[in-house]
Amino acid sequence: MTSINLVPADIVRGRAARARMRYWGRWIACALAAIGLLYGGLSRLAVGSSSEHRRLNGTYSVLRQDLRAADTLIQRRDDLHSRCQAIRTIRLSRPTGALLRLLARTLTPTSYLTHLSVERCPPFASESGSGGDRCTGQLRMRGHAGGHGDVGEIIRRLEDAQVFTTVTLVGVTEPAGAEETEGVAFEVVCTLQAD
Amino acid sequence: MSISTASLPSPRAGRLAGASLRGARSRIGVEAGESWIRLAQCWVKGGRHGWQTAAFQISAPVRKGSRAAGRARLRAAGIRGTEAVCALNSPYVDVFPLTLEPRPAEALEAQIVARAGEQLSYPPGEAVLDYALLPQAALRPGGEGATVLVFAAPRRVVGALLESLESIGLSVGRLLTPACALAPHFATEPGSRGLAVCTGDEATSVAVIQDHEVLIERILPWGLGRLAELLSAELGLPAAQCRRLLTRAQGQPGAADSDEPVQAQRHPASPDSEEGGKEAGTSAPGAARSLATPEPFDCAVEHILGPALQELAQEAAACLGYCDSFLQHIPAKSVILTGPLAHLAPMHQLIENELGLHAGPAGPVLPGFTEGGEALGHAVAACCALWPGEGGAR
Repeated sequence: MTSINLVPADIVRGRAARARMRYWGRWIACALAAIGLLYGGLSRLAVGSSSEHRRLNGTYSVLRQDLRAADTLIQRRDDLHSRCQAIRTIRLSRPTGALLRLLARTLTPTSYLTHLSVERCPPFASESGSGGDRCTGQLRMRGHAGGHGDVGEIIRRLEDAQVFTTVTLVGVTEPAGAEETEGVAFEVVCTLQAD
Repeated sequence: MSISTASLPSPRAGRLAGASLRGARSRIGVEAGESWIRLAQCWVKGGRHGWQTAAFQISAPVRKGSRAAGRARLRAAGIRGTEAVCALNSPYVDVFPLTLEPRPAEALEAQIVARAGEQLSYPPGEAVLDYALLPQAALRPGGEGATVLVFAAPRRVVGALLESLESIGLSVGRLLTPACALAPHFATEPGSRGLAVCTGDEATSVAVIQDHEVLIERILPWGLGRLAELLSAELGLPAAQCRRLLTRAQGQPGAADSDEPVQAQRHPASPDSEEGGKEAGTSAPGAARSLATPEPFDCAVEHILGPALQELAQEAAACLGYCDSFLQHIPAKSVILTGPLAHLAPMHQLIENELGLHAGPAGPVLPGFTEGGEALGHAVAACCALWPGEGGAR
C-alpha cells in the first residue's frame, strides 16, 4: 500500500493547536460556568446572610438602646442610693452639739478647754476605705486642768463615754516658773467611733 | 515544505471490513479538484451496507454563503461526520520517480528535496512533498540505491483545498493521490501489474499498480469538465448537458451526473454485491452500454474527444513502458477505469487499441459497489472512505 500524506505539517500542527485550544477552551468555559454557579450560589447565600445580618443589626441596635437606657437607670439608681446613704449618714451621725455636751460632762470643775476641733469623715468615706486608708473622725482638744489628777479624770471619763474608739493623751505640760497650784496644760486626741 | 518518511505498510483491510468502520459509518472519502468535489461514505446497518455519495462544485476562495451551502449539501446527502481522507485529483500534482544513493533515511529525505527541486516547475519551498519507497519486488534485481516515487503539490493549492473542505466541516487527516487511494482495493494477481485510470472532474490519473503499490502515476490536466467543454464547443450544447451525455454512457440515464448543484445518491448494496466485487477487472458492461448509448454518440465522442482520449491512451502506454524499462519487466494484465467516464466506450476502445489489453470499468473491484452503478463515479472517494491506514497525518 502506498501510504503518503500531502497535508502540510504546519497545517497539521495548526489543527492540533486549534484542537488543544478547543479542549482547553471547553475546560475554561466549564471552569467559568462552575465559578459562575458558585458565585451565584454564594451570592444567594450572601443575600440571605445580609438580610439576617441586617435583622440582627436592628435587634442589636434596639438592645443597645435598651442597654444604654438600663445603664442610665442603673447610674441614676446608684446616684440615688448614694444620696440616700448620705442622707441616712447625716441623719444617723452624732451631732456636734451632743459631743459638746459630752465634753462638758467630762471636764472637772478645775479644768477648762482652750482649743477644740472636730474632724468628721464625709458620708460613706469611713465605709469605702480599706486598711490604713480608712477615714476616721477625730476630736482634738487642748485645755488647762488643776492638776495631773484632773487630766486623768478627764481621760477616764472620755473612755467611759463609749463614743470614742481611742483616747490618747498627747501631752501634759506645766508652765515654766509657775507654781504647783496654777495647774497643767494638756492635749488629748480622741478617735470617733464610726457611725 | 513538509516531507516525511513513508510509514510501514498497514495490513490490507478487508473489502468492506467492519474493522475499518467506526460505528455504523466510515469516515468521509473525498475526491477533490480545485472546484469540484465528490464525496462518499459507507454505512453499515443490520448486516447490510451501502453508500451515501454526493458531488458538487466548490468555489475558491470559499465565501460565507457557499460554506453554509456546502454544509447543507452534506446534510442533504446524508453524509455525517467530519473526519475525511481526500484524494487530490488535480493537474497540479506532480508524481515522479527518483533513484537515489543508498543513505540513511535523513539523508534520503535531503536527497529527495534536492532532486525534487530539479523536477518541479516551482520552488521546492512552495511544495508539499511526500514519497514512497518502491517495493523490492518491482525493482530490477542487482540495482543499488533506493527508488522512490515522489508526490508533490503546490502548498497554495493544498492549503486552499484544505481550507475549502474545512469550511464545509470536513477535517482532512490524509491527502492522497487517486492512485494511492485506489491501490489498497486494486485487486490484481500476486506479482502482476494493472493499470488504473481514474477520470475526475478536472484531471485524469493514470497509474500502474502492483501488489497494492503504486509504481508510477501521471495526472493529465483534463477531466470530465474539460471534455464536456470540448463537446459543448463542438456540438453547441450547454456544457451541463454535455456532462450529462458523457456520464449517461454508464447505462443509468436517470442516475447520471447532472447540472444540478448536488447529486446525492444512496446505494444500498445487497450482500451478494460484496462477493461479486472480488472479481477484478472482468466486467463486460457492453450490453448495457449499447442499450443506453446510441452508436452515433460514441462516434461523435470519438471524433471530438479523440485527441484527448488518445493522449490518455498514450500516457497509459508510456507509464507501462516506464515500468517495463526501468523496473522489473512484468506485463500488465488489466486496465481498470474509474470515475464518471469509466463507462465511456470510446475511451475503452482507444486504450485497448493502444495497449492491447482489456479495459473495463472497475465497478466490481471496489468495495460495496455494484457493477454498472452510477456510484462508480465516486470510486476514488469510496476508496478514500475505506482507506485501510489511519486517517490522521503522519
